[in-house]
Amino acid sequence: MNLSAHPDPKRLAALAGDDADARADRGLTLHVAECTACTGQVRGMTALRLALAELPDVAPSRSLVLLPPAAAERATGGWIGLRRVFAPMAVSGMVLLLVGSVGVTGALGPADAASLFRLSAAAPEAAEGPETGNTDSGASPVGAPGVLGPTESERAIVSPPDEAGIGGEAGRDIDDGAPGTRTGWILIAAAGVGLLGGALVLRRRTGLT
Amino acid sequence: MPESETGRPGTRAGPLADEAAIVAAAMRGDRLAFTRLMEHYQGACYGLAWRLIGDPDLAADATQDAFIHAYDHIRAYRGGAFRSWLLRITANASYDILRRAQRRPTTTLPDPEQGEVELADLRAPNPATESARAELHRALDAALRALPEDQRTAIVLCDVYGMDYHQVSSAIHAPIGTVKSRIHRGRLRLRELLADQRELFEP
Repeated sequence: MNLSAHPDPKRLAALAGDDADARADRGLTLHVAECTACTGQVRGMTALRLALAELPDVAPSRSLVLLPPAAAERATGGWIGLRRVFAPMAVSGMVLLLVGSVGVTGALGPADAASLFRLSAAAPEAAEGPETGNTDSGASPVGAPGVLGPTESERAIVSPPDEAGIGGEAGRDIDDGAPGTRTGWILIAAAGVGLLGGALVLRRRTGLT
Repeated sequence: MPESETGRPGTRAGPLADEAAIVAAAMRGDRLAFTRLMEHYQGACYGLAWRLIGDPDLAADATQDAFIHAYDHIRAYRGGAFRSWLLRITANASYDILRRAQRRPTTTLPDPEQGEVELADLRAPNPATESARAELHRALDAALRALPEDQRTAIVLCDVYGMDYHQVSSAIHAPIGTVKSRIHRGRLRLRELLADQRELFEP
């Protein structure tokens, strides 16, 4: 290559930047190897590039919010907000369920709890059945003939304690075998597990402890 | 120029010792881990934004925007150097702010011809206590500020922050050929601007 015909300075800058195209340009590299002026230019720009690569970090001119405010706001208004609403509700619900179930089984006995669930299960049938008019007369629905006839456990409610007894033999017999009892406990357990699971999911989604 | 993040001139934040674990925690939604990462790299991000935009307040805005974007998209992080990932986000945020500022003529951007004046307005350290290295850094930043914006952006992303042509092209939405041309012209222009101070960086 004619040393008097220097390459385009941009090609020299490319070579200084270790550009693959420039390095592959044999004419360019040969010229630079033999031309003192171009070698100086390339070395100078290489040194400049290396100096630029060492420029330090810069302290911000003002303090930055490291957790983005918009993101924090979204989080507060979103899942965290929901969590603030749902967490007390979930806890309250679980406590109420626990207290309620203990109260029902403890105060009235398993047989009474079973009768309550059986009544609940029978209620829709009552709504579909014929009008009896017994409620107007003040008669108890428990004793209404043909609609909600007393079950064994219902008789236990109105029976003297010495006959049915709280946790007595009659109650245990009914509790052991009545499908309504099992359904009730399953419902209580499912509600509790559901609420607990919901609270755990919310906690995981919000990433908070 | 503003003082170095760590108080020692000429330093850059390297990766944290347990960075992979911290990043993984941040990706799982650990806000404390995310905050730690941002705290560590805020000097790098702000430095990039400041060198691209030239205005301290707008640079802080760009850095803040970058943090928000990083928070929202950290689950999209696919490994590699976290610093590079964060810097690319900062470059995009800075470039967006530059574009918005150019569309609003009332917003003042530093005149490239007055770059040194702008630098003098920043929190300059006491010249009497500066080392030769700090002097070099100040001269380089002043020269960068004197570059035309398109060349400055390309040089800052490529030569100062080590992005390759493809990354620069993606950040400034320009073809690779254009990026290369701007970088090469920028290097030549920088050398001219620093002609009187070559003893600072040339052997």
